[in-house]
Amino acid sequence: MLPEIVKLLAEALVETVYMVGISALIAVVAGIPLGVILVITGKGHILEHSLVHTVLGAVVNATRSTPFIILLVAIIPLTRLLVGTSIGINAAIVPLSIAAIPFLGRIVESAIREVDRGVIEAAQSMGASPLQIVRKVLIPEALPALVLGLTITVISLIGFSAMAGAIGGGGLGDLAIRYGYQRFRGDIMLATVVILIAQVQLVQSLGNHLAQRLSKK
Amino acid sequence: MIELAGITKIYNGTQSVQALKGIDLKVPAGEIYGIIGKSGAGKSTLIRCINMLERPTAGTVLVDGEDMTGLSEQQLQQKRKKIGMIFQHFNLLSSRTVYDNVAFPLELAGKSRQEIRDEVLPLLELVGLTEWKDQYPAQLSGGQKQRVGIARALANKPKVLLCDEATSALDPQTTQSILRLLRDINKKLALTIVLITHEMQVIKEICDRVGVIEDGLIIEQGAVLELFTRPRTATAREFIRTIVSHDLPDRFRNIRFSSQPASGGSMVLRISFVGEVASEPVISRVSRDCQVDTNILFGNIDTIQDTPFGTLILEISGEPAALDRALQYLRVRELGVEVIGYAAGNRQAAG
Repeated sequence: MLPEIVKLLAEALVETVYMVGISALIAVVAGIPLGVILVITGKGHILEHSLVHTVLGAVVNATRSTPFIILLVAIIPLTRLLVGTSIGINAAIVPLSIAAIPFLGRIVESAIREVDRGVIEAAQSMGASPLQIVRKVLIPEALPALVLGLTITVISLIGFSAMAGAIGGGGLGDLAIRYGYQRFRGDIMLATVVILIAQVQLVQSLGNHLAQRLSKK
Repeated sequence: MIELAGITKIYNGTQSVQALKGIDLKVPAGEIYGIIGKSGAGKSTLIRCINMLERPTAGTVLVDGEDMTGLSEQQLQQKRKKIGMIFQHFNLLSSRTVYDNVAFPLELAGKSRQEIRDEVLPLLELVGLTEWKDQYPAQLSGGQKQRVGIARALANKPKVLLCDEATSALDPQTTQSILRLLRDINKKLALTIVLITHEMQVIKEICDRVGVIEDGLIIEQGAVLELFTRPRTATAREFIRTIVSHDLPDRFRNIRFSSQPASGGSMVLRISFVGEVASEPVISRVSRDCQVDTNILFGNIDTIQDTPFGTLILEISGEPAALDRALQYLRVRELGVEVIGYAAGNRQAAG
């Protein structure tokens, strides 16, 4: 009995880590540039461009105002197109990423916006190009805040991934619903909740620790 | 080295603001030129127009013979590498060590690690921060941060250094040491320096020439000593008063001066003198030749960049005609003479 539960939990945990890991990676690759572009195209910034700024802002807002559970169902056609199926952990990665990119984008935006304008001006006075300012000033200076922002994103993704489980996405959420809820297995429900809590704690502590080490202020 | 002609800057917002209203300025190579003004006078905008951090609405900016206003973005980036700038709040990269902050402009210019090393270490030596090279800005004092700022600004061997209120966030001692450093590098590297400040002390300490900016216009400019001895505008006088005591002694505060001489009354003058004039026995001569009595109410001698500069407040009493003669006598000497006023009656103010 017990080994069976452990095996179920272990498999589910691996699935959750996989889903969250891949979507977090995609969020980093797309969300950081998104956040950076949102800042630098803003009024009075190094590459002011009101059209790009407004359009991107609107897209981000639209995505962020859709509840995840709706997004999950609404983009099924897109998921099918990309992964070939709408169930399973690979299918779950599509909505997870789509939710995480604008989420992280906004966090990156506020982190980058915090970078002292004086420092940017100093870099400009030294003849830095906009790309150099992004790579050598904005991102390194905002790095501790970016790490904390990514931490928040990963934690949100853990929560979202449980929801994805509800429609057959796999992972801990799926396990909790199929066994814990539908088969009245209180022990499995409890175990998944404990694992989720531990996971979030671990991610948050790691994030805090890393941000602390990176901060030179 | 730097030539500004007809610089105007208009900020268009809900209300359009004209920050600069036609500035003409020439700074020869190797000079330290100070621009002094109160906050809001436009000095910050003006210094940013020199390296195009602010684009002037009209006018031309020549730096080393090249028109900055006509450069493309890329050309401007190249040109800016030859114009160093330091800031009131230092603007160092908090995520980089002292060494890496100084290396930053060299990285931007695409130098190799070895080249960077060869240039950064002597610069740290120059500003006296060799021991601090692995510290982060947060671990440094204000003066040390500004030294990093200076080393960083010099990394690309600029011909011009712009100082934006570089000492305004520092205490008086630190200000002195930073000003000395700026003076040193001005001499050593034949660097042209333009600085803006609201502190007359800074102008007095290191500038060769000064421009007074008010409400977007340079209202007065000239050699620093000239400004101190013969200020032409009220604003300039106000700035001078911040460091040279121009106030009348307390016992004169309550006297109402009139602008017309009165019979048997006295005249109170403020006299400023520079350099060797100070050695001429002016006071005894004016008393003898013009038959007036001269009383020194206040005296102060200061030096402005090694030249003695003094202020005297004199009370001269005698007949109106004699007072006029005395005034003429003083005015033809190389003296700054300002009539504070005439006191009526036989007032023996000084004890």
